[in-house]
Amino acid sequence: MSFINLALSLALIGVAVAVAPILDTVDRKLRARLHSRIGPPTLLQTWYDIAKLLGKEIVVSEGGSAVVVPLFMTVASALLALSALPPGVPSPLAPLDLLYLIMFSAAAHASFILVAVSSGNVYAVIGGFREFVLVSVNEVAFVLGLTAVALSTGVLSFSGAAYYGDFRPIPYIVSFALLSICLYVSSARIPFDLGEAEPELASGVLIELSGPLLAIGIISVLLKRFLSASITAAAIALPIMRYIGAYGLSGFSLLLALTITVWIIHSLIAASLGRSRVEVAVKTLISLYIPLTLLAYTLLLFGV
Amino acid sequence: MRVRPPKALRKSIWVFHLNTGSCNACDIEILDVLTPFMDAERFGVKLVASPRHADVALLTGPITRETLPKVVNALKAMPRPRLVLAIGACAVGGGIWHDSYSVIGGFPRLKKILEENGVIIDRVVYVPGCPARPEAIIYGLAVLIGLLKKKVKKEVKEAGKGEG
Repeated sequence: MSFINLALSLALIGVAVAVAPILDTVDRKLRARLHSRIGPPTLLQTWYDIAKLLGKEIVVSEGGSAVVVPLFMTVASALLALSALPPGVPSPLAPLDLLYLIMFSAAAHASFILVAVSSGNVYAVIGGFREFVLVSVNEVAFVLGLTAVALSTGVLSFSGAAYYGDFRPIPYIVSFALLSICLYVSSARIPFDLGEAEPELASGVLIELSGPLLAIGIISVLLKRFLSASITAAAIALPIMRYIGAYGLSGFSLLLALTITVWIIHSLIAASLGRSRVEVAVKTLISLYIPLTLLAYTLLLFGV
Repeated sequence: MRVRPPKALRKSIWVFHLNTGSCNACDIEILDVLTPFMDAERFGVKLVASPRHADVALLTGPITRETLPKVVNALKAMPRPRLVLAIGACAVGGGIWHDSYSVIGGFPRLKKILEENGVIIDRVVYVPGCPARPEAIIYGLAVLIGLLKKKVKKEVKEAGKGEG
C-alpha cells in the first residue's frame, strides 16, 4: 500500500461525507424543478437539517438504547466499503478489494436492518422487514454482478480491472447492466425505498429515531447512496482509465465527476417513477436479475 | 422549564400534521401549504411521518375526547424544543364546538392538560380562520420559529404583560 493510494482513498471518504448531503439537496432541487416549484432554499439544506437535528433532544423508547451500535456500524461499514473502491489508483485494500467491497456493503445493509430491529418500535420492525426482503434479493444479484464485472477483465479485483487483466467488452456491458440495476435498488430510491418509504407510510427503519440519532441515520442513508453511485461510477471509470490512462488525481477527478453524474441520473429516474408494493418490486427484480445473470455468466464461460 | 428554539430551526423546520378531530378544511389548507402551489419547502419546511422527527406539530381541530389520549401521546413523543402551530378557529379556541360535550375546546385547554401530564410546549402560535388561509399558516410558521416578529398592538402587549 503506497502513500498516494491511502491518501486518495481517505480523500474519497472525506468527499463522500461532505458532498453526500449536498447531493441530497440537489436531488430535492431536481424533484422540485420537475414539479415546477423552487424547492430547498440553498444547496446546504440537508446540512442545515443535520445541524438542527444534532441540537435536538434524544428521545429513546423503552428497550431502544441499543440502536446506537448498529447506527454507527452502518456508517462505518459504508465508509469502509468506500475505501475498497479504486480512487484513481488501485485501492489500498487491493487485491482483496472485491471481497472487502462485498463484505462491507453487505454489513452496511445488515446493520441498517438491525437499526430497525433494535429501535424498540414495531413500526420500525415492519420497515426493517420490508428492507430485509429487498436486500436479500438485491445483495445476491449485487455479488453476482460485481463478480461478473471483475471477471470480464480477467482478474478477480475491482481495482485491477483498470490496470491489468484481459478486458472483454461484451460480458462487461451485460454485467454492468446487472450491476447498475442492483446499485439503483440499493440506493433506496423510489420505487425501491420500501424500507423507509417516508412520509406515505407511517413506518420505516428510522421512524423511532430522534435528534442526533436521526442525524446519524440520515448520514448513513446518504453514505449508502453515495456508495451505490460511486460503485456504478467506478465500473464506468475503470475501462476509461484503462484506455485514456487517467490515473492518480485525474482518475480521482473522473471517479468523482462520474459519481455526481450517476447520482443525478438516479435522482431523475426516482423523480419520474411511482412507488410500488414490496412483492411487486421483488418479483420485478427477480425477473430482471435471473436472465441478466445467466447471460453474463454464459458470455464469460464461453469466452465471448 | 421552556427551551428556547435554536437558531438552526430557522433554516430547517420539520412539521408533523396532527388532526385532532377537525372537519378537514384546515387540513386541506395545510396540504396547500405543503404541495407545489405554496411550496413550503422553499423555507426549509418538510413534512415528516413521525412525531419523533418533528420540530413543529401542525395541530387542527377542537381536540375531541376520543382523540385526546392520542394527541397527548403524539405531542409527548416529540423531542424538545417542542413547538405547536394551532391552526384554525377550532384549534385556537374550539370554534363553533367550544362548549360541546364531545370536545375539550381548543389548544389552550389542551396545554393545561399537557402541563398536568408533564409535557411542556416550548412555544405556540395561534393561526385563526375557518379555515385558516395557507398564507396565514406560512406566516404563523415564520412567527413560531422566530423569522418574523409577532404583530401585537401596544395596548394588547401591555395588557398581556405578567401573563407570560
